[in-house]
Amino acid sequence: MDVTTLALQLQGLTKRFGNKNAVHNLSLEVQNGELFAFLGANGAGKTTTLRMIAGLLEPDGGDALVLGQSIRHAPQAAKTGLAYLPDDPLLYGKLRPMEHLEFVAGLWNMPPLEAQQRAEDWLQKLGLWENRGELIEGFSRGMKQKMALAAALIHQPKLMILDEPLTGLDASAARQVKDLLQNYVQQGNTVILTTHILEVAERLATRIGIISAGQLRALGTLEELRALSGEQGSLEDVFLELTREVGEK
Amino acid sequence: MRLYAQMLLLLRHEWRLVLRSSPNTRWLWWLGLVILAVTVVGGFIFRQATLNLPTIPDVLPTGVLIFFSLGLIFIFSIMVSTAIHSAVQMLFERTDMDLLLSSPLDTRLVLASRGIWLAITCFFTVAIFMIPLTLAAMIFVDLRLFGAIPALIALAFLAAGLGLITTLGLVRLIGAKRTRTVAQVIGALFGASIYLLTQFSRFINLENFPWLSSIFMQVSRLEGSNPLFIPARAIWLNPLSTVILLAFGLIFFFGSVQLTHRAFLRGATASILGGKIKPPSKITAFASSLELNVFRKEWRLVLRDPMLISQTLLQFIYLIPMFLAFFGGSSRSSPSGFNLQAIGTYPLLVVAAILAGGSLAQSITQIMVAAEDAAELIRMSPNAGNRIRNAKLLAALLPIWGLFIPLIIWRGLLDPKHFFILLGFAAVTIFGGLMILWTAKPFVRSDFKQHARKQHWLVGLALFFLSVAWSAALLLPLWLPFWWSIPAVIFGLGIPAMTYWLTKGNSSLGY
Repeated sequence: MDVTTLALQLQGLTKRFGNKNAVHNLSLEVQNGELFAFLGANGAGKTTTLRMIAGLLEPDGGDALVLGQSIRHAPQAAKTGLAYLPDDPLLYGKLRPMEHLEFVAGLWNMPPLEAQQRAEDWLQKLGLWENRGELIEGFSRGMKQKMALAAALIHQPKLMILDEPLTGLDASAARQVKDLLQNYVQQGNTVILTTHILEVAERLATRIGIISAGQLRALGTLEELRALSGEQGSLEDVFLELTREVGEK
Repeated sequence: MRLYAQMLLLLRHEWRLVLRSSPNTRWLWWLGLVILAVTVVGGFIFRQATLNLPTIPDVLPTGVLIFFSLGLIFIFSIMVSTAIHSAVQMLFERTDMDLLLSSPLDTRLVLASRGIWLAITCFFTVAIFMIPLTLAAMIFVDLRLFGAIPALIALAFLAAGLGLITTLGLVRLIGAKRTRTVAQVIGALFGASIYLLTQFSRFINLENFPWLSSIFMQVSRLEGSNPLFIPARAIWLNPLSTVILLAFGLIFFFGSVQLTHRAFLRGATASILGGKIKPPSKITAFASSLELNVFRKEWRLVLRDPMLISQTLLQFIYLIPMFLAFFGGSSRSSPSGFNLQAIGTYPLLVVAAILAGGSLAQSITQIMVAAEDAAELIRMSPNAGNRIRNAKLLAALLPIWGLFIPLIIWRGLLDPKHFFILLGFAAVTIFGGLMILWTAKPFVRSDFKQHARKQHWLVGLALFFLSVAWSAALLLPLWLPFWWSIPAVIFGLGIPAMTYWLTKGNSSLGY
């Protein structure tokens, strides 16, 4: 496969914590323009994998190529086109929304005028413009999640990685985020997300990867996973079937 | 449930929260046990020792009463400062308030229990040094000095009442949200007020303030039986004074609970973080460089954090007398009453710039560099961590330089030897900042006080010697040949060099 069409390439990624293999020899390719869902039970190794891709954890083995750039050997180049949104949003409570976005845009070396315009646009799109005079610490969980999303999007990343982006959001905010992610992918960008809400993965994801005990157990479209598991039901049935098999092994 | 049982339940709840609020408080309880043991042993020794002591009259002379009164004023200022600081925390920052207010407990009881803990906190803040002192005084002077303990208890209740009134009065005036900041600042000012008064008295010529002299004269002529000396007489265990002081303390405390009850309900029920939606703030143009961006972000965070403001402000307050030194040389015939011409300003300026300015710079650097709330956000960005750390160091140092350097240059224009201070000041702030950069461990902003205590003793010692070395380099030529400064300069350069060598210039800040 042409490397330039790949948003993410994992090559035998491995991470150990003590004697435990959190992620073991994980290889995976995600193409540009995909919305890839990463599923797995708690402690399966999803977040560890995402944190290695984002450059927050040093892998013990293997490498992650973000838009063709190695996160181990060219971390700054790799991070330029990447945004990572952890499940606990990284926000400064004592800053106002525009101030927070100013800081994040500055970290990604954006031209100030363009950054300011983009910040205003995102706050308006996400319904936070009216709250621009408040400190972020006073925001609700959903508003904070949207704020973090605006911060992730401000530098126009080509690849966005989201860990449980819909946790704590009400129905309206969740719909807003889902629509936003779909639009974002339609513009040729790539999204990788983890979620426990399987219905979200079922509706949004182009492909799904199921991880268990730090290893990739299944990979493909929903139809391919159905075929693999022999289940014809929902993704929940397929997921439970595939992870049950692993558990029994 | 009966009233006293409810009160006991609430006090026990507070006790648990205080005990578990920080693992570092454990040593305090050990200290309490040691003090108790020392008291018992001391009491036994006392029985043996007092047999041969000369008797002291029941009525103390006015001079001693004034001395006791001044001591009590000093202690009371510390207690009030503690009460205001702790009231903000106990009333607004504990997450259990919703639970308590939604329970069928009387809300006055909830406030009173918090207030009692406030008084206990005030008492123990000074008890750490006052109990051993009282014990020693009882053994070596007179048993009646035991009166200091009930006097302190009464003052603790007075301070707690004043803390409640100040904090909840602010809630009524400016709302719960702003109260945190303002109360922390007032608390800091109160704590430093006695220090400031003592320092100003060094610089003020009393002849220029006749009204002040007249007050001093009138107080010194008062008789020992004057009601103003009730607290001082209580220290001497005068029964009536002790009872009056205790009764006044308790009445004031419960009166303030009654008085502030409504404001408490208003403040506690209004979310400290929520409240009305503010009108949109004016948006400033985005920063044009990473350094300016970091500068803005760091100072916004410091200036919006009540605890950090009060800590930083406190350091500025302690600097004020030092700043008076800068103006000393030009106020030779100042009608303002400042009388500094007698003081050699150069040594004072060296101390002001190197010790005070240096420690202020180091403290702010510590906050900005180590108290990073979103270290992972910075680590994810396509910037070398080194660049961000240096930008943070610059953000911390620039305002300090802006404060001191113009003053030093101005003094240098009047007397060129003052230009040497620039050298020492630059060395202490830059090297001190870099040493913090290389050695600091990350911490959460809200743990700033605990973190400062946790700083490795070697780092603290190295920073102290850095200041001493550069002070010595600047001061030694006043009394010794110039070359005596060379070893001090080598030492002043060697400390940061050694720190770099030990840490390899790496950082464990997580970004």
